[in-house]
Amino acid sequence: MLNSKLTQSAIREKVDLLIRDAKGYPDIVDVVAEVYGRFRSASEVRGILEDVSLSEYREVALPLEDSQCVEPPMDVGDFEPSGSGWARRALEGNVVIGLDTSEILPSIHRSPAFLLVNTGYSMITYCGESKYLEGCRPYFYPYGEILEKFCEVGSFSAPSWAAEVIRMECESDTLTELCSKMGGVSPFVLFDESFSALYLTARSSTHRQKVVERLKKMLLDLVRSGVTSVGAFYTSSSAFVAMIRKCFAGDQQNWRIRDSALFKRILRLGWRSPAFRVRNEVIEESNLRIAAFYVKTGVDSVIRVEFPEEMFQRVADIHRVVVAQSALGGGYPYVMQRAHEQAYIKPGERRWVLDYLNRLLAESGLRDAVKVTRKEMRKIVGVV
Amino acid sequence: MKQTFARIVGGSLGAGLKAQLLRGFSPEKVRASSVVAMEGGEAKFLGVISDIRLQSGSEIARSLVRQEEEGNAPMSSAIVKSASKLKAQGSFTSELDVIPLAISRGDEVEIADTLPDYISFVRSPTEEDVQTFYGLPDGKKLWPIGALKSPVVGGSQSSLVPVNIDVLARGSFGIYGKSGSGKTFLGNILASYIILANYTGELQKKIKLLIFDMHSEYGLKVKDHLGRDYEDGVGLAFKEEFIRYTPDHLLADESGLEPFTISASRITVSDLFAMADALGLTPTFLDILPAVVRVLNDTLPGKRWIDIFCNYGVDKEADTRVREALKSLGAGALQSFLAARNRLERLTQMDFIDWVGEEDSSKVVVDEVLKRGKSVILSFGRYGDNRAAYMLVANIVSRRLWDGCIRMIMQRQPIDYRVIILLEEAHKFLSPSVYYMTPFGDIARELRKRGVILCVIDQRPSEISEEVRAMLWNTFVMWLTEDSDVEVASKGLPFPKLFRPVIENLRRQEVLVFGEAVTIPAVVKAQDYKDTISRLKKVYREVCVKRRGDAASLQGY
Amino acid sequence: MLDDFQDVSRAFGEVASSSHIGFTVQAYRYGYEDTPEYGSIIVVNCGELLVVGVVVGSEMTPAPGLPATPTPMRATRKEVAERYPDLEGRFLDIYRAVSVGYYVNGRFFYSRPRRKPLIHDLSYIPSNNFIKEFHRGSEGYTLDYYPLILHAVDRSEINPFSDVYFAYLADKFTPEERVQLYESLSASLAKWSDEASITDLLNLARRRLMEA
Repeated sequence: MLNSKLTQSAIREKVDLLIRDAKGYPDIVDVVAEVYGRFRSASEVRGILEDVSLSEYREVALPLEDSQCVEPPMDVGDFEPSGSGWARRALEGNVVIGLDTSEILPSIHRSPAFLLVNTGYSMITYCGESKYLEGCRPYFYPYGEILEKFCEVGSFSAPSWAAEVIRMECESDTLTELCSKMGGVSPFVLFDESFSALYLTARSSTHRQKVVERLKKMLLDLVRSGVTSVGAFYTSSSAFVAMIRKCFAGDQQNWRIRDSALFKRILRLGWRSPAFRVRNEVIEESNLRIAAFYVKTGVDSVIRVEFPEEMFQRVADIHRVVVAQSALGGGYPYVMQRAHEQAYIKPGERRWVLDYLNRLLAESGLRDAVKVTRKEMRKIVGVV
Repeated sequence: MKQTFARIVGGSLGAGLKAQLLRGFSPEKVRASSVVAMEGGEAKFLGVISDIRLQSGSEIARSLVRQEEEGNAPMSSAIVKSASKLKAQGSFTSELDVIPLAISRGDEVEIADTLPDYISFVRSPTEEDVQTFYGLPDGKKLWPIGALKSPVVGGSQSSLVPVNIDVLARGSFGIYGKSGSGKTFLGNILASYIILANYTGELQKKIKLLIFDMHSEYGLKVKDHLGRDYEDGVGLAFKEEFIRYTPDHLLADESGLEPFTISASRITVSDLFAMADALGLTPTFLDILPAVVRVLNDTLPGKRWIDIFCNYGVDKEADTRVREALKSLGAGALQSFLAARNRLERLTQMDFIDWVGEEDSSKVVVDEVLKRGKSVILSFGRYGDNRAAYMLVANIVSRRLWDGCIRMIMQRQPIDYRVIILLEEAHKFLSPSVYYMTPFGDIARELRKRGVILCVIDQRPSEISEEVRAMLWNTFVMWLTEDSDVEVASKGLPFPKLFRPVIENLRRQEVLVFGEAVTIPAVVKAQDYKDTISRLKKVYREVCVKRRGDAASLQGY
Repeated sequence: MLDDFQDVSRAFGEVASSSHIGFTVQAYRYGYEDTPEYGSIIVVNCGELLVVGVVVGSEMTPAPGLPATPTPMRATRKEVAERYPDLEGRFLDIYRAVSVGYYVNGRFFYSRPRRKPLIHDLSYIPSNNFIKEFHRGSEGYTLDYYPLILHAVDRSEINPFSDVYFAYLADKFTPEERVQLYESLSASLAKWSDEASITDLLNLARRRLMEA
């Protein structure tokens, strides 16, 4: 519960700092944009950054193209759905799949513990008369099964990476099923996740290893199947700004701005940044090669698009598909919005799962088998 | 045959019953002012339909009619078929208002004191119903007035409703109806029944008739509605029972009636008062009339005042003296007298007035009626439309009759007969303004107990004094339209207000009869006059043949 | 008769809710060629009986959980379908019908069925032949069921609905048959409904059935 009066006074105490940051922010963006104007040669920049220590920069972008901004490969108009006729034309002949997952994770507040992964998908075929297929597929894992699958004998707790690995397995399984219905057409698959996996930096090395291993396998399988896998997401990364700072600003400035702020300023609707190789600790460890670019999909919307570097020759197609999908979706890829809806487990549905489990177990003579801690119960029904 | 066509759905004793026609039974088949029987759960009832109403479905009917346009045959056909379906399913309903008349509980029949229950059947009365409620004619005291008016078109009643002639003759009675409604037919039939009842009814006292026959339809031929001779009036049908007089001496010569004459001496001031309206005498003159008579008698003692009034045999000198003398009565008296004299001179043109002699048929008439064998009819011939003549004769004869009765009473002589005076245009004699001036009022009031009663025949009963109407024991009401007449005619009925539409809906020859002489009120269709008179003549002949041997024992015959 | 309504592929939708008065059908697709018109007859296969309904309302709304106001597209229907073929699954195209009769044991009855349709029962657009047979009474073509509609529809809706419905019927029947329908109308209305509405309805019926 929030005490509104106390909250107001806490914020007012520090509001000056906020105003200072907010007022200063655009100035810094202008400066960075101006400095970025010095960028000319991708190979030169790569030469500087390939050996730079990642202890200083969590992530850096190694440009793969010489352009400062790349225009979309088709005529774009309005990015509102009401003006997206061009977007449909741009997608003619393509199959685009959006994929997302939602989970009920094992928790200390519930026993017996279980993992439920719900994959949501939306597949649209833009061939003449457009067709669609959407739905969701749940995967249920009792805790014991997780232990069997991933733990050493004698261990009583599942590893922290198990849920993530299982999630990717479920995504792969769902995709396999979908692809079998496509009759030889190679789809674009849009994931709401980062292939460069910078978030894994905070995890243990075993965790990182296991997750990246599974990610690599998934991406490889997809490449072999002819699937163009694309991760499209919003990020607070400043890999590109780090590149500009290192290469064109003498590494002097302590610019605390995100890549998305820079590209909101300098990109036009539908345009993208030059593609770049992502360099961070996780990728370095795993020998994964991920390419990316930023694309402006709305007045205040810049998303980062990642894909296996092997697919670099398809960057123009990836750009076209992401831009067209974003126009249809009013700023965010349409199929991904639909896939999210399919994947999302509502709070009521979460409760229903527990109730269902209880009923099922009761049929086998186990009354009130599903235990929920008081803390969890309070979230559901309150104290009194 | 019991034809049921409605059921009771509501009502009250005071406001009348409501009956709803059965589904599919058209209101066109039902007659207003007809008599119905009602089968209660525990008793049988008789009633009169006073109104018929299209009760529900009016909005639908309007809606349908709105769809129609002239000349559109398919639309018209569709509307007719729609209406037919609506009728068949009961969306159009019709209701009857029924006046409860009588109730029969086993053998007892009385005026209705309760109602039939909900859903009681309403049907045509059967012969058995008529017998239960009214009895049967017996050709003695009970004679048929007509058959109950059938409630269903096409239906007919064979059983006839009887009227008790003996009871009828015990008190004055009225026959009301507009011109052409059949009053004269009815009057002749009742008179015929009275004549026959004298022979067959074993009456304590025989009944004599004194008929003031304004249009000569009692003494001669009854006319049809076009004024053509139709059939014998009672006087011709039963010639032996009547002496027929007429003040029209030309008619007397033509048709064998006795000439009726009155002496001018018999004309009184009261007669002038009674005739004032007919003669056009002004109220101003009437105010000074007694004084004028006094002056005339004083001025010309050897002359009859009536002669002076009518300017009969008045020479110039006498006239001058009269004029001078009248000046003593004030300004205007002479002018009033002269104006009145102009009018009264008309009396000198009436050839039944004997200005010279003292011949007086009125005494003969009265003697015949009170003491001798026959009844009397005074048929007025060409004087029928002469109100003054009619009133003069009726007044004089009735005064004579009154005097005769009083004398007999004073002399303690029994009046051996009951006398019924049939008086047409009765309101001329019995209106509130003249009622006290004519002998008829006295007769109606004072002589009933002596067996002398009136039969008032009129088309404007509202103009008859209420006092006289209150004395009527029986009433025969035929078609009337004036509100005042309808209201007055319905008094004496149970629920008089409810009967008003019944009276207004009566047709020619239909009669609503109520009073002591019928057990309960009845609406009947009078029998055909010709057939009836023919039948009655036959009965009379049979009776006469039978009684020829005993004729002397019959009083007056 | 029942056989005509067995083919699942020919159903245009399924019962989504139901009561003793009527039912709603959610259409599988929302194109005009796949769905019934407002003021038309539909049939529900309820197993041993067919329930006949008249569409008295229809609406299209976003499915629950979605924003109530759809985003403007400024595109033709064809263009919208090409861009967003999945939109069909995101809208509910609902048809609200009043039960006006049923078919069982080889004959039609003009009253509310004693058994309501069940949710998921298949709903069909019947043929003209079926519609005519439904209206064939013992004394000619009849609108005996009409008051059932009046008692289930809002008063303000009666006239506009009736206008459309009579026009619909006029298309299905010959002029002589229309006359029979018209002739039966006043009697059927008088049986059930209040008289005040009869004039308007007869007017409308006359214009559509008799004068068209």
